[in-house]
Amino acid sequence: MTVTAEPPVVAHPSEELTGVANILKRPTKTHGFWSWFTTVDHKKIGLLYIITGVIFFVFAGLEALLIRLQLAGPNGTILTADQYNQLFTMHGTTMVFLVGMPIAVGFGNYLVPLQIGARDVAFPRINMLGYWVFLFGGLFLYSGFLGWNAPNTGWFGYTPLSSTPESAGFLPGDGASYWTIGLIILGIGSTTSAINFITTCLNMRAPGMTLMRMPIFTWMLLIIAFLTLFAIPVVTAALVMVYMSREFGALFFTGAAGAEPLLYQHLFWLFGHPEVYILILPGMGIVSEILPVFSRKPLFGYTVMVFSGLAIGFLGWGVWAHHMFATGLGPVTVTAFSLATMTIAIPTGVKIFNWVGTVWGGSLSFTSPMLYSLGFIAMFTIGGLSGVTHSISPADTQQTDSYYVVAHFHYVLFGGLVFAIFGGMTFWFPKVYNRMMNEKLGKLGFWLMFIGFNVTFFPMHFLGLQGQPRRTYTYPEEAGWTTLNGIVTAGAFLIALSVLVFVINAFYSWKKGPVAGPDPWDARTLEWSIASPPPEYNFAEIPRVTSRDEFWHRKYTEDDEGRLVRLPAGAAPAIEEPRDDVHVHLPSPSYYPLILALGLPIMGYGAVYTTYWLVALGAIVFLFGLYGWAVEPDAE
Amino acid sequence: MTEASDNAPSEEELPPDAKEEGAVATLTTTAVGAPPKEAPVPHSGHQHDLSPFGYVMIALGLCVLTALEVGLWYLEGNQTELFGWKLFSDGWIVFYLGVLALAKFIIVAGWYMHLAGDAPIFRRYFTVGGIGAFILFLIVLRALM
Amino acid sequence: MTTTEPQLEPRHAHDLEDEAAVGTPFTNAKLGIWMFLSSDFMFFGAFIAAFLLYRSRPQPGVTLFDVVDIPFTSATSFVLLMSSLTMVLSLAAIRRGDMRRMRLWLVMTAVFGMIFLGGQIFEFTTFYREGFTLDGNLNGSTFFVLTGLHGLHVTAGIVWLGTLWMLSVQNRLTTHDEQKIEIAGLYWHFVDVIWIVIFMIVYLVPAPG
Repeated sequence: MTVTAEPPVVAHPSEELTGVANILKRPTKTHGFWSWFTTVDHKKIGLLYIITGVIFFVFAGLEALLIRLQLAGPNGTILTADQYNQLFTMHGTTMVFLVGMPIAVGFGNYLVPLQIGARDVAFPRINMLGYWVFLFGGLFLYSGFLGWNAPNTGWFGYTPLSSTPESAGFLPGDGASYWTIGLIILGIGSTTSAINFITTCLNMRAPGMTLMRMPIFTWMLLIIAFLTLFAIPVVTAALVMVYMSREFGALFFTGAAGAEPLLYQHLFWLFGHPEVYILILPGMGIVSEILPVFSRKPLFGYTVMVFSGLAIGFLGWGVWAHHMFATGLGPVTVTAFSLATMTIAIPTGVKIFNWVGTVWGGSLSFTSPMLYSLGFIAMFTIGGLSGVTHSISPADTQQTDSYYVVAHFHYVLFGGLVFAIFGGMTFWFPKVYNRMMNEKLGKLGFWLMFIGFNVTFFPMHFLGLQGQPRRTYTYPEEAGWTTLNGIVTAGAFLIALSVLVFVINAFYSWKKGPVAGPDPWDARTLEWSIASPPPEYNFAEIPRVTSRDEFWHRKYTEDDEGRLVRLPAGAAPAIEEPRDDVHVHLPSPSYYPLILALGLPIMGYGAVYTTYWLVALGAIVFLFGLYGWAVEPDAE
Repeated sequence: MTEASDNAPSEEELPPDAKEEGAVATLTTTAVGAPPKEAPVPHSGHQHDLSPFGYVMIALGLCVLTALEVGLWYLEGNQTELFGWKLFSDGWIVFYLGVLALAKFIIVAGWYMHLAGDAPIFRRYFTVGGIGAFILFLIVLRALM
Repeated sequence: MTTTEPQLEPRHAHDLEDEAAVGTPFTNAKLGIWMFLSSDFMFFGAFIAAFLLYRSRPQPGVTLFDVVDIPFTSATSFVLLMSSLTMVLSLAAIRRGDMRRMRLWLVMTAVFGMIFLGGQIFEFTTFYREGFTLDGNLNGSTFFVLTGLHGLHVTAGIVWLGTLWMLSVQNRLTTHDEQKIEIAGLYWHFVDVIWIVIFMIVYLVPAPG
């Protein structure tokens, strides 16, 4: 504990490997195009997740547009029934597994280490592995579209439609096999990410950052990491059962053999319900970060926000059968789940009130991120209300499998999660690229999206109650649904336009936006206390944390009347000065996560077509990656 | 430049057993001080480690429990009664088996996986989680059957 | 080359009070493997639930109870149980600094694992010959998938142990790497614990009716 100069050192990239017999020479570049393939830096990995997720969002959006074109009028002829099945299956599967979860993980990857004052996540190479598994799993799923063989049994893959072997003749094509194997692969990536986040949040916080001083966004990521950890294995088990039934004649779901028809649904929704909380909690975390900044007030009721997040995570395990109210569970079971579902509205409602409490009396600036966040509160509330109507099982018996449900979950997932994502991207863009996004385009994009979204999904409440069923590729003229469906389709194109505006904004701002600096929003959490973009090592010195909103308290204090007083920069500047003498030993890039991940889709194709040499080939690639990984040190 | 973390020991000062394979390279130059009162030093100095003899004794205990389990299988259908209770009815056998399996589970988790010697927070986490998972599956089976 | 665990012990700058101490007493790797095992536990739970659901349903064909050979399975279970002993002895050896003994016990563990697997394969082929198959009835489907997945886990464990052994023989494992043995051990014990549960629920619980 001396006061002499600490060893000054420049952040150095790893040196070339010498001596140790590695099979592949270790990559060394930490910048440049090829570094993106071998990086273990959480910030790069986070960006990869987000950008790839946005690309899949566009794919899923195109799928939605095709669906809407088909449904714009009665007796549509744009798509055949089978094509329609593939499109709505992939739309849902993509949005849940290739957009929602990865983008949340992407935000988490980029931000959590910064918010807790760490230099990286606990397992950097496993982090990279998670990304490649995501990408390859997604490509694997999409490869089914070649020859219109994509998954076609819905994003939930109900049995026995999905589990009957193709030879039985009910459902042509290998779509369901692609779906099961693809999701098993994706589940591996999700599980590794979950383990990483849990370990990082629990073990790698800066000194003084107790759990109750962590930013809410980080808290939400920690909670969903636990949910992921326990939910994904259940669905993986269900998927294995479906796969074994399809390819090896297992009888898990075969009615003729005496199987329980609902086994799959119970297992799937045991996963499926926590899954929707996995999707939305990060969005809530993002909103909880943005609102205080643009209200210039701390989050109202931090402790309650944490505990309600925990309550949602915990209670979310007890409500799954509300997806099955119409399956003949019996009145006792239905009542129990009905009550449990109503209960879970409580912590959720608490959060809404806390957000309102946050902006109440604040000094508000209606920037794009703020607009998206306020939009989130309103739209998610609407979605939550329709959700509460679902919890009443007699009502749900009418609503289930109708467009009313489609309206509900799009309000919570689009009006909720997607709004939060766009808000979050706008909010943190300056940190990542050191440029501000264009506010005019941002506001235009928001309003187009807000209007487009409501025009698209609000009529669906009515269509659903008028009887339009889900997952059906056309409807007759006599049903009287034509006008509303036309309006819905128009809204969908408006949404597409709004996304286009955002993408244009992003590219334009990336190139030509005004320089942002470290803290353009006058924000509250530690990621804003370092340069934009953050240096590779994040913090030259790990911060010492003494309160929640640590960064804010370094900038401001309050006078006797509770007014904010800016602290002078002085001896302890709030923002870390850029330095060129930081010597930090960072984990080195590696090829092996990519190689290991590559083995998985190869084995996957082998599994879909039960071609054993392919499985063996994939296993060899996998094991090669595994061995190389085990042998190479974390850093050189 | 000299303002830096006076409290942070340079890399060389970190205790030698802080260097571990399979861990990320120095991601921090923060001080690593004394652990909080409750927690044992994580990787070495397991004062509660059993001697090899101790582990063998545990293994023998596990064998005995297994033998009892297998013995119960042979006792299926046995009609022995104690105060009017069929000692080895199917229901009771399942109960005894459950107790024996649970005992083996606890012994392996506690002593081979060292959970007994680790920080209490983890024992609590796993006990609560285990019971929670068990209850969840009971509910699922009840809903299914 | 330093490979310092960033969070070996809870962070605790010297002149901060105890409240600044954050983190858990587990190293990252140990916390990570326990998280993974929790997840895997749920995975097996789903298959065990399916097995329990289907064991008492009336179904045609040969069920496990018609072909089960308890003495044989007891023997293989015993072998797996002993492999947990050898595993923990391996860990104790590396903690003492005895690399030779560590390798010996490691090999014994893997060998016992292979004997167990061999027993499983023999058992399964016998079952198939006697008409108890994966696609025969519900009992068969649930049994073979559950025990098959367990077998895959054992196989992965054997590969893991073999890799550690190889690294040690190549002198790439030192006494400082005891954590690697410990982590592998945790996985191996987990696989054993799962078998304890499976053996009881699948083999020993009296046949229905």
